[in-house]
This record gives sequence, structure tokens and C-alpha cells, in this order.
Amino acid sequence: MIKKAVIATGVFAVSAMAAATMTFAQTATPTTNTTTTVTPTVDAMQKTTPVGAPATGRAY
Amino acid sequence: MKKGLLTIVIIIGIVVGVGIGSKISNSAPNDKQVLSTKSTPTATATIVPEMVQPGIPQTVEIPKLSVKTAIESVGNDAEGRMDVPRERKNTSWYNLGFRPGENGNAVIAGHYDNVDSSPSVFYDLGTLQVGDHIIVTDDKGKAQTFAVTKTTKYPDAAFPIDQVFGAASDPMLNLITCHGNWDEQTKNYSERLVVYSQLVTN
Repeated sequence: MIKKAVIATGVFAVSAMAAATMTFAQTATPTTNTTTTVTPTVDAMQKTTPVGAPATGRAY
Repeated sequence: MKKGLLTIVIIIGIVVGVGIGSKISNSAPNDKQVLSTKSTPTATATIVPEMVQPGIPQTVEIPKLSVKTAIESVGNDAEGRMDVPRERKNTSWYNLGFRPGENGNAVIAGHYDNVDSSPSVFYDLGTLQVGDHIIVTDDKGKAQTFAVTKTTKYPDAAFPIDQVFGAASDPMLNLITCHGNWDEQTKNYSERLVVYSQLVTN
């Protein structure tokens, strides 16, 4: 009598665990996107202009 | 009697166990949705494109003119004008402005003739036409090709500095040489020839 009751309880437990395990396996692991920032390497050097065109006439 | 009761207990155990398991399985999608919703990142990924500054220009080649010269890096002369190359066979790049390949007007100058009136490196610059290629190679070994967009002459006294040397939204390269009439007193030509070009391959 007791032995059969234990078997019944075991069947119950196994059924519940199997269902729970299936649910866990079907659940995908969430992924999180990370923010990617690349620092520009162009320097911020101030550009300047000359006051006149180059004297590209006769080369000495 | 006891055997019948035991059978009923076993059946109830199986039915209840399967029932609970089934309920957990059915509730899985909701749990999953909740999990997914909570795991969705709230921050938007921001990718800033890397901007790499072009190298220092070393040589300029103009296939149509059979010209290939070294480039000297120069700033201003004593009068504040763009300086000229020390070697008559070379050209000069204005290093206080833009580099060839970066957004803006980069400038390379070359002599028109020599003191004995023989042709210098940019003597035939005025024969370039729209679409002709100019190839600049930098100190990293990278070659960039520019295509001529227009050729214009300006009086030296009314040279458009900002237009030739200033900022631009695209990578431009402007070549300068002298033109016009030679003034022996001032040792200067009356005009400047500017060949405008734009980057076509990088």
C-alpha cells in the first residue's frame, strides 16, 4: 500500500519536472546589444589660409 | 477495497501531475514574453564611423603631362603667401591647410618656368582638361586619384584665397602655377592658373 503510494507520488513529481524542464529549454537566452563607439582620429587642427597665392614663377 | 482505493490514488496522482506539468508548459510563452520584454535593451546602439586622416603627401603624378615629382611640405613665406618648393623639379603642398583626401581644399603648387626661361614642372598645367587624372601618394604608400573639374586663371592681385584654400564638403585638390606676363621688376607673373580637381578613388 505504502509502496504503491510512493510510486504514485514519484510519477507526479516526474511529470511536473519534465514539463518544467521543457519550458526552460525552450526559453532563449536574452542577448543584449552593446554600444560601440569609435573615437575619431582626425585631429582638430585649425586650418589656416595664406594671404596670397604662391610665387610660382621662375624657379631659381 | 483497499486495492481499489490505491488504484484511485495512483490515477489521481498521474492526472494531477500531468495537469500541472501541462499548465506550466502552456504558461511558458507568457513567461518567455515577459523575459524577452524585460531583456530588450533600452539603449540604441550608436556606431560612429572611424575617420582616418590621410597621410602626408609625398609625390604627385599627372599621367597626361608625364609629370611625377616629389612634394615638399611648406607653410607661408616671409610675406604670408603660400611658400614655393626649394627644388625647381619639386612641387609644394600647403601644410597649414588640408591634406589631399580629407574634406577641404588641399593645395599643391609648382613652378611654371626656370630662371633661364626653360619649362619647369607645371609648365603645361594649363593643358589639362576636365576628367584628367592627378595621383597623389602619401607617406603611408596610399595613392589617391583626383579628376580635374575645371581650370581657371586669376589676376595675382585678385586671387580667391578662400575658394582655393578654404573648407569644402568633399576632398578637393587644387594645383597652382604662374601664368600671364612676367614682370622683371617685381619678379612676378601677372596671373595664377588653378586646376581644380576632386577625389574619385580612395
